[in-house]
Amino acid sequence: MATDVQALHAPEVKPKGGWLSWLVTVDHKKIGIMYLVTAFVFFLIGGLEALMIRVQLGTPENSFLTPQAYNQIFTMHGTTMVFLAIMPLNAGFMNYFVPLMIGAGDMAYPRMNAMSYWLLLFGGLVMYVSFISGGNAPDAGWFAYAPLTEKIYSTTRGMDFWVLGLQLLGVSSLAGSVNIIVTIIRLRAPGMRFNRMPLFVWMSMITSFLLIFALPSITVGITLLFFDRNFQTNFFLPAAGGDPLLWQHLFWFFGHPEVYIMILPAFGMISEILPVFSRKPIFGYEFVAYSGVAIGFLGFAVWAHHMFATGLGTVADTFFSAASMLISVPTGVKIFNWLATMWRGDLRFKTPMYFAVGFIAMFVIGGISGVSLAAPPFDLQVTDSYYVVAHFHYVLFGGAAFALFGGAYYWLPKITGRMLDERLGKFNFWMIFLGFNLTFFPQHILGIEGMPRRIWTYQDNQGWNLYNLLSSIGAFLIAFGALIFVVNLILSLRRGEPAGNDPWDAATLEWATTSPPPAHNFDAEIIVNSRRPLWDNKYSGEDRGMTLNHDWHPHLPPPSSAPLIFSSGLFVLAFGMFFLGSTPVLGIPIILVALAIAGFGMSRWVGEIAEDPVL
Amino acid sequence: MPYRRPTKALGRIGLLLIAATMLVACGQATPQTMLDPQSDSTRTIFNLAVLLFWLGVGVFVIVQTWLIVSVFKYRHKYNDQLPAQIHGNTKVEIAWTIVPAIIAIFIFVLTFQAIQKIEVKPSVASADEVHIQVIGHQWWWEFRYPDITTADGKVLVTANEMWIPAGKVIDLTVTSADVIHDFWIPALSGKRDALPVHETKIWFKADDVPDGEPKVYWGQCAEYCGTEHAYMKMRVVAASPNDFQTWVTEQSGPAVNADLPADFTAAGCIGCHVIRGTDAANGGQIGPDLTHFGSRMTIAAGTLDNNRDNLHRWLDSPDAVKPGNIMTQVIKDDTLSPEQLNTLTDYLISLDPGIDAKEQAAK
Repeated sequence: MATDVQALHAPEVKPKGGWLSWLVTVDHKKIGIMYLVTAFVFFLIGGLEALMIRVQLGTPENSFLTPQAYNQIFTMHGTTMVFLAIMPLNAGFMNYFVPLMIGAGDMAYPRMNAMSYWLLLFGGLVMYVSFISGGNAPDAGWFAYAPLTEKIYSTTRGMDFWVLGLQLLGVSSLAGSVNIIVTIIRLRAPGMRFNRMPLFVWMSMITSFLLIFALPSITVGITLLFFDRNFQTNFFLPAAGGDPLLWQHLFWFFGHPEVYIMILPAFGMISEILPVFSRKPIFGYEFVAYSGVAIGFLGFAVWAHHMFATGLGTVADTFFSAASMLISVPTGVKIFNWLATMWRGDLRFKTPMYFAVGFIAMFVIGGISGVSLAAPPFDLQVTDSYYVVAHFHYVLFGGAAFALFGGAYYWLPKITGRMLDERLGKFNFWMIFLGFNLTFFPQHILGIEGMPRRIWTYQDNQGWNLYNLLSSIGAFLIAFGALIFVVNLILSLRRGEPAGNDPWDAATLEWATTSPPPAHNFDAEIIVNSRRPLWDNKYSGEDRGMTLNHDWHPHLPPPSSAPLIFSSGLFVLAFGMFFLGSTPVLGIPIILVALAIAGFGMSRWVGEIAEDPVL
Repeated sequence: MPYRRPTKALGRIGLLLIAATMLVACGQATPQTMLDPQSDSTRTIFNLAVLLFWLGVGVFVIVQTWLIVSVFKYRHKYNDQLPAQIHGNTKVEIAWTIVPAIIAIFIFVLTFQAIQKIEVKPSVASADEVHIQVIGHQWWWEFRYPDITTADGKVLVTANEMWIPAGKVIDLTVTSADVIHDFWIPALSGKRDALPVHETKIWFKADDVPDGEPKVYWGQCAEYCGTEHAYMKMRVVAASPNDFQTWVTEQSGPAVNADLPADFTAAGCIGCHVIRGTDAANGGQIGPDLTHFGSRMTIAAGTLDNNRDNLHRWLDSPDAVKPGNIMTQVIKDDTLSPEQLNTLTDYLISLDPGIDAKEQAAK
């Protein structure tokens, strides 16, 4: 083993400032941790909502929830899992690991990075405040089809909270994406060429581009919706000449790329985990990277496959069907390359590998049902039925969430410095694997037997009892699995084995520093010489993978309260906008206060930049 | 029965086996299943689905076998030699890019044919075609027969139960009175959204009824449309052309009991419901037309079987049967006195001109 790896490690510096330091931190690692913790809490809340859904649907004509409550819960389950759990969990891992993997000291815009986090938290809070403000959570579904979202049909203020929360989350994601892209383009270590970047970094960059191009569409949509609901415009109201189909196009032009926004980082994680535990390089690096780019482009040409039932006509049906089927090609390439990575490897079955293998097995099922949905005639039968629910849970739970669990077991030792327990980890995997399949496989059958989505109950005479019961039992197994993860995490933090720098004998730069890494990440500048810098130094000979430049003085910006103050201003602004249409005497003062707070934060921010030229 | 290729038959047997297992597994009839197609369109879809199913099984078996073999064959075996560091193989990778592309093109061609088959309505003589307007409401279905005129010169309107002649082309125009709904009869037709601005079109041709008895199909709203999306169900009755003609004749007539109770007006029913041939002929049109209510199979959009007990229960407390439905805005639990309840129940049940499909529905 090369000795220079050891030379990278500085003596541990005692962190100062206690919990207050988290409020003003601009360190990408602390921000990453805050992303992960916040998103995981929302993941648990979304999971509780899922359990309530499954309790209600466990038996026919159940009265556990009223229809009004059920509709709020399923709306918030979807919204939470998409915007507050999977996206920010991905963002958390990107925040923590993209700079480390490319040998950078921090993100390109550390203060803007903090702002992205605070806006995520505040966006989530705005949505969840709706529950305590008279129990009026959003109730029109996460897809929010107009005109059901309009004031005459969705009479509570829930959808206003939904729009305002989503606006904050949109700003958060946009800023975060710009940050990731600039970091990757500008801050790569010397020699870290694009074709040497870890695949997780590749997928993070593609995901960020997708967000930048997709988000404006939903931002326009929800802004118009907010005007309809609060200022008597009629963008989506048919009675006044508005068009509800306009909403569907705006929503899905965002919504379908959004699927890839959630799954591409998962592809990246799997592409990191599989080679390490197969002790081989990824098979066909270029194919895996470029197929991700291809998926990104094609992802913008398929949105109307969510709208076949609206009667698009044969031409549009044909085009969107062809484009959707085409996506199966680059996706298939990735799967074959992963399988080839394992082939003739020396497979080490640690928990991350369990989840990675489980990911491939489950994601393929979601892919197969996805191809069937791309055929408009079949789609006309199964769309809006439980078949679709089964399909996208195989993609987003069997896919994204499995990858995230794998990523957590793989990377948490780097973040916390302590290993997670392997026995609990494997128990965790099997519980989730069994529970997941028991919950979602029967839902394919339910869909084929004619059970529509989003129904709060069903009658005894439909023949759906058994599969619904199985599905509900499965949901509790998943919950138990998630609980094991929480227990494992707590035990690991308390008395987990020290991880050391490189517990998995890995290949990429994040393992070439201490666990957890120091504030400036690396004590020396890394000059990258290969695609697997750490591995090649260990196995091909000194300096084959990377060389070190010790004459290096990384510059990190000091802690700053400006991002938090500025974001708080936007948080208050959301409430000002909430009241602006209904009670202007309340709304206008709140908006003025909000602008004052935001302005104060911005001026501090600008002042700090003058002293320290980093955004 | 047209001739089918043996491979197709094999496919069908496979799916039927699965269907049978499903039936045995739950021991319950599944009236809304799509595995029992009863029209040309749904059969076309079903055949495409069989193909997609077996292709899917093929891909599933290949990938999972490859995965499982790898897992067992290359599991770490106590030797610390590094495996060969293979970085890829361009030829192999090009191959597994092209082969899925060919499969995708193959699926697409068959999909394209199916699109043409189910979306392009065949042109037939007007006598072999029936036009029906489907209008989604929160949370019930209105069916209008624009070519059928009633005794009082209006268009024939019914609710939650659509009668059609078997073997004829049914040409549907679908719209909505409020939010987006979705018309879906799994055995007869795929989904078509009911939009409030645009008319959408869908057509199908239900199979002939072999024994001459009317055949009942179940359907349900498939687009989330608010509080009672779950209880927005419907029935389609495919009748022999003769039975359909009888039904048309009977339904076009005025209500068979013109003796409208005063309570119908007093309790506010008239604000939302029409009963042709009575003093409620010009009632409100917010709720279903009740002219021949007694002939229908269900109450509250497929929620309850239509009989005296259920109707009594429904009128007594609409919110208990279908929580949050729009009738609850007028009829609360204590709105109707016991006498009013009995009078209205008796009257509505009496509105049955003769032919109905309640017996078939019970089967």
